[in-house]
Amino acid sequence: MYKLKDIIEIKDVDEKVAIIGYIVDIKDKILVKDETGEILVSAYDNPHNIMLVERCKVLVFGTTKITPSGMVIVGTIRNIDDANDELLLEFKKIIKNGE
Amino acid sequence: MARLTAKRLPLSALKNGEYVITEGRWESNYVEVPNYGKVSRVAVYGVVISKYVNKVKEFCSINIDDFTDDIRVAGFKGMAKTLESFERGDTILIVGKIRKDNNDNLYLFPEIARKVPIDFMLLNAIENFKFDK
Repeated sequence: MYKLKDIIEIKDVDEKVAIIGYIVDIKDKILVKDETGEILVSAYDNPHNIMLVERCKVLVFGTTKITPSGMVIVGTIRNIDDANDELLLEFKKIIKNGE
Repeated sequence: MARLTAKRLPLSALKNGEYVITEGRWESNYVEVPNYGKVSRVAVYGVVISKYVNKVKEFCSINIDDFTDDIRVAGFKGMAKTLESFERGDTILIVGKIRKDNNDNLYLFPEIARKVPIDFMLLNAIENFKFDK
């Protein structure tokens, strides 16, 4: 099961996490930022890449790994620009309070 | 015997239920879930987190996560093709029967599977958490 977290809360390696943030930079890895920090995402086998642009809102889920570039989430990233902002806020609040 | 309709519930609640194998020929097996009663058929909104395809056997299995837990969805022939069309990261709705495999793990046998906008999953997750607490 993937746990929705803020980037600052991600500490452990090989942990299944989900984060909601926005894209800051796209190179071979994708830099994703939220209100608490930023993290690199390595998105393999990703059909949604074509929809990823800088500053778009994304949902990332994957497993944390340590690499020479630091902590990286290896997994899938998808554009959620079409998500309703109010729903997204409520979702984050409720999932975090529900734990 | 009335058909048991699909219930929308968090996967964590479903996994905590007790699987009951009925004796009657026409009676469906079900999961006895606290607060939800007999659940034989579920409607689950989730994100596809992994996919396995066996084209020779016309079989496809995906794992979906609804942020409370995850579950396998397995389909054959026509349904396998539908499941195969989903990609990791897609938000989908599955309506299907609950079954148990040889390893005693619950899985879903889908009757309906389709892509939905992410708002559907967010709203469903909010409702799940609000009513489950």
